[in-house]
Amino acid sequence: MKQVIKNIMLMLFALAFISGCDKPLPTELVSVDNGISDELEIELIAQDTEDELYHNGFDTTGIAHNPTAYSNFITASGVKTSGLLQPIHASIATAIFFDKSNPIHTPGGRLLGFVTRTPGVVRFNNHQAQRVPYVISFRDHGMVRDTTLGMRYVLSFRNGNPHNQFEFEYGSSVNFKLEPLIGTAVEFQIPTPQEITGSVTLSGSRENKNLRARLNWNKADTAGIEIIIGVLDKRKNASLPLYRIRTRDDGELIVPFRLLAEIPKDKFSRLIFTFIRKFEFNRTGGNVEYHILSQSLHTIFVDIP
Amino acid sequence: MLQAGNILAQSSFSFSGSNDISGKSFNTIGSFETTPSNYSVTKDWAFSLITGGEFSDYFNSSLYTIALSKRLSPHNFTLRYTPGYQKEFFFNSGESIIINDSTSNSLQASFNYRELFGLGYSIDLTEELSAGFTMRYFTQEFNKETLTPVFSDSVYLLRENVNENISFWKTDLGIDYFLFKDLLISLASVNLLNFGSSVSESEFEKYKLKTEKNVLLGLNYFPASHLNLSAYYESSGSFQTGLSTGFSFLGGNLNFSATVFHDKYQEPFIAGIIPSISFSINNFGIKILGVKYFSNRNTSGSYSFFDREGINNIINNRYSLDKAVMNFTFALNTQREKYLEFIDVEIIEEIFPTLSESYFNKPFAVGKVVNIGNKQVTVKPFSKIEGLNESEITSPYVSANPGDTVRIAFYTLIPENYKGTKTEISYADFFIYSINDEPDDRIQKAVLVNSSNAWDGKVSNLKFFIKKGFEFSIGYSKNILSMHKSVLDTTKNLLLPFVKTNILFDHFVKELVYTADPRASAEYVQFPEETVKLKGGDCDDLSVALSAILESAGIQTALVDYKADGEPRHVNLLVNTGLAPEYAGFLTNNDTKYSLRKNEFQKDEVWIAIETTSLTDFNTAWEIGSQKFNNEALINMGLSNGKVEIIDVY
Repeated sequence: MKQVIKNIMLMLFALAFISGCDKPLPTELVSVDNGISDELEIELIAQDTEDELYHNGFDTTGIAHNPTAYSNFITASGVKTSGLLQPIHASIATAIFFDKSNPIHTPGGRLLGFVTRTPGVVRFNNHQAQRVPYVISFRDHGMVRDTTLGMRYVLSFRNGNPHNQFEFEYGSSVNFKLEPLIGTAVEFQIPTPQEITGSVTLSGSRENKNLRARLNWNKADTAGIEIIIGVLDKRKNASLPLYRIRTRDDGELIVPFRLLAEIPKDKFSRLIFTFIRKFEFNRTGGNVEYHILSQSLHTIFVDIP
Repeated sequence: MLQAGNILAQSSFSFSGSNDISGKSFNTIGSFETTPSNYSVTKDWAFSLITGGEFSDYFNSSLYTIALSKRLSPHNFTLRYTPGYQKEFFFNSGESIIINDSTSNSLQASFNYRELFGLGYSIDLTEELSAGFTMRYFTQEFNKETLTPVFSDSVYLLRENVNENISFWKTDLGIDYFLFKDLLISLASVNLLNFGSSVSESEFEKYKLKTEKNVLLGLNYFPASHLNLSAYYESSGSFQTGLSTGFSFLGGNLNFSATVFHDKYQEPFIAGIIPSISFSINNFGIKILGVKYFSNRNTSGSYSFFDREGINNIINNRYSLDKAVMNFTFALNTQREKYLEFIDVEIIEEIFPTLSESYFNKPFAVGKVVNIGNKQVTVKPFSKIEGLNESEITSPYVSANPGDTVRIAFYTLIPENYKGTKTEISYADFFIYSINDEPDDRIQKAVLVNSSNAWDGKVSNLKFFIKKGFEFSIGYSKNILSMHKSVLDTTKNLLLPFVKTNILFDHFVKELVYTADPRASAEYVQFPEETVKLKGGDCDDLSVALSAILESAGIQTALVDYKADGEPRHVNLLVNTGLAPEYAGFLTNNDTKYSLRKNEFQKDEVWIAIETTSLTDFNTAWEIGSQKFNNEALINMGLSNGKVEIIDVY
């Protein structure tokens, strides 16, 4: 009997030895927090470091939009800027209506946009927006040229302006009203996000290739925020947005250090971080679909260490 | 051997830890996870293989451990290769890139944690205390896609693969101590001293295997021979507790155990259970165990948890899957496994060869034997007295539990034909066997072997001399009685024993003289043949010889031992005439010349006393014998006060 048991054990041993050749199963880690699959999503904005004209729709405040993708574009923004001589607090509301059948191209054939329309009177919180030229710049054969796409509606006020008529209220709403020349007025409320206030802590240095940026902001229960990272061109004293990062609205982000470590200091003097918490959605009114962007922005300038 | 599922849930998790009832385990040679010294049970070489697999959508098998252990008492060395001690994670790195068409591409990352091999040393400092250390080698491989911007006339993001491999040694100390025979305390460090390379990419720092320093305290309690209760606690707050029991089966041991564990890094509070069944026989052991977690396990996990917490253990973490594990252990003993050891053997009787039958039920030596093994064994005692025994003589078997000391009685057999003429010092070899063909231990003691004529002075033992002279006595008595055939033929049957006694005695004493023992210092008894041949002897010799002659003629005799104070003791004979009391008048009218004794049917029979040293004639011997018996045994109440004893020869 003992011999039988011994043989059985030896057979089991051999079987186990032969069959045990795989390695343990790996585990796939997935993130499902807030519906964002990644902690951060990085988009390269500027591909030409000489192009300060933001063809893709960024301006120096960090307000990001590419209006030519829509037939209309309505924005309401609360803007703060830190790190300059004077901090800026501003409220800006705009409305642009395109004639999509009337495109404008550069001499080189690149689409710049569409001719705009002024369908009537636009009011934000019952304040009438001004019609101002919608000027865009572009580079053509090394020369900077300006062109006008038409008129757009703008209502903007900075802090300290005694004639400030429009105040962007965070975590509230902005009333939009379009009174067309012909037809019925279109009116709706644009919800506004909670105010975003960020801070930037830099450590290390670019020379040592260990430049780190820890970004903090007041977190909120939203689907996520965007952070635009740009630089200030020394020579032109113009800002150039480099990356757009989408991340969770959880209050903190360590910027992947390679994104900052390679920035040439001889060309750029300052880093610009713009925190954006926004609502972007479509709204139908009077058989027209309106594309709406409501956002809180905080832009911070810091010297490259 | 009793085994407990001694698999720890925390940093100390293992697939092989098992305790037997001595607190040390045959199956733990591949395990460094409990106290580092706990594999010191190995007797010589031992080999262990642990294989098994994880349950997901299918069963994925792995070879977890190959271990080799060597004992050079009191030192123990172990080498362990652990190909299956690894855990790989792959995931999106948490970063993605938006390319021109606005589609998002996630960057991939994979981390692989491995324990490759380990080595251990322990030493048995005392019977109760052992201590040791282990060194285990770990590697960690971090692989991550990342974006690197390149600034020139234009800016673009380069998708790069960043790879970093680091390794470290983990060193721990531990002790095992039997506070009591049934209580084992284990104390060990966890991550006492770790040293190795560090990461250069700081972003990988938080993903390194967590190596929190802890202390592990273990208690093993053995309240009964087949029951083990164990509890282990880590200073981190994790703990496990288990129970095991077992029984003998097919010549081996079949054991069952169940252990539940709490791991501070896992949910729920009781994170899982480890049932096990094991069987061990001789040098082979097999153990099958399962690891069942009480939370849902699959091949995907939460990145955010991993990013925040990391892992503390490669084979037991919140991402580990349910497992089935087989543990094979083989002892490759070039040295025989020893379970029993002599403490001492005491010779309690010198050997009197003629008293051979008395050794059937009386040990001549007593030994103390301890079970130093880890399982219950049967002690098989043997002895051999040089010059007396031709082969080893077995004595009754005794069962001994681990750690028990048992008393072993050694008996001996003396050959019928033994003829030792000299008393001499010989040597007795004592052996104890357990499960092996060779004895576990042996010891040699001097023993006095007397000559065949030596007597221990106990009159009761003279019967052995009588029996030994039987062969001679039969011929002697027949020869004499045949010479008196005419007398016997005309004698009434009921008087035949008396007449035969008369004839045999008269013939026996015809040529004899009384002589004292030839050796004053020692009791010496002649066999009947020697007495006849030497034509004389003392009371012992004459009583033995006459008893043998009468017994060989079918006449029942008894020895009468007169234990007189201050005088040499004296022996003579009582002879059964076979007459009922009412016929005593056929012999004599003097009722002091006979006495009555009950036979086996409780009927009285007439016995007469014969003084064997009275070498004149039967009647004189009867007269003297009767007077002595009457005076000392009856009048002086010698039979009552023990000064006279009657010993039946048969």
